[in-house]
Amino acid sequence: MEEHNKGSRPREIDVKILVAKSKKGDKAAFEELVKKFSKYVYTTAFFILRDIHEAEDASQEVFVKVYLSIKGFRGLSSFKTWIRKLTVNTCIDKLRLYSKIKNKKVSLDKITEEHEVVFTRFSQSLEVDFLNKEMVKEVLKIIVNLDESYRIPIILRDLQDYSYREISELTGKPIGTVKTNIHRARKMIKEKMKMYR
Amino acid sequence: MNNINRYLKIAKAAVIKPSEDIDKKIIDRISHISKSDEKLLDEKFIDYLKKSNSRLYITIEKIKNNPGVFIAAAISIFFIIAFMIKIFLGEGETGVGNNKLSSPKDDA
Repeated sequence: MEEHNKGSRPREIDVKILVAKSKKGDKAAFEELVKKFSKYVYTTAFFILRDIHEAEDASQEVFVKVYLSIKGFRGLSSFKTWIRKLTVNTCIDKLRLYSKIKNKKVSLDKITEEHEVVFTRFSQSLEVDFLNKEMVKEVLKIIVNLDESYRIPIILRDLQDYSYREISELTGKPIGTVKTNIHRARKMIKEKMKMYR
Repeated sequence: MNNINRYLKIAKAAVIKPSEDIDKKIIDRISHISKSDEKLLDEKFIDYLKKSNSRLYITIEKIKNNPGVFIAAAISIFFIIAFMIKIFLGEGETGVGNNKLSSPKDDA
């Protein structure tokens, strides 16, 4: 738990134990799961919804769903995969529901002023670390301000490891369109990143 | 593009720390779950839960997501089996040939 607060990845074994305890009704174990995955769920929700309040609501909704259904989770996939898909599904549903936030332009600048962006794994030298982190923050700023048709596919593909087919099913767009949009999004990022060099 | 791909890879490990304590809010929300919250477990969610608990569904999804890998694996298995059958049959024929050479009729 302390470990996660410092920004490292939740250990798979610890998570399995916590899930097993939570399934038996151990509330303290479930609270530990919340502490381990809340920031991950919140970040995913924020990148999709681009609204801190919506992201908070979505995070709460995801954990309520997990709490109510964890007894039925067989663990065939990892808990992280399960909660990731649950978060993405919940946020995509919300996005469809609240079309008002669809084209809202936000800046990660504002978010990073108020909220710290932390990295859960880094093993290079401090200097390289710093440079990479700054560049990654710039990439995230660009992504978060892309139009929905580019933002959602690139987030799902490059940050959440979804396949083109899964993205196509989720967004309701043909695979060809999804591939084209992801390619264009990467190109846009590349173009905008030239300014930072 | 390589650099962008590297940054995107690193970005997977990035999380935004919310200013307010989100853990507390979530834990508080869970402590006050009411009957109406069960509505959140709608048909779509139950369907997802069922699918995530099905080994067959997960396997099919894996195949669908990586058809190339599956086809390559299937072709490799086919060739391995074909190669083994060929060796097996070849040994059989050689065995028959050897028997012919040492048959008692030939000796006579």
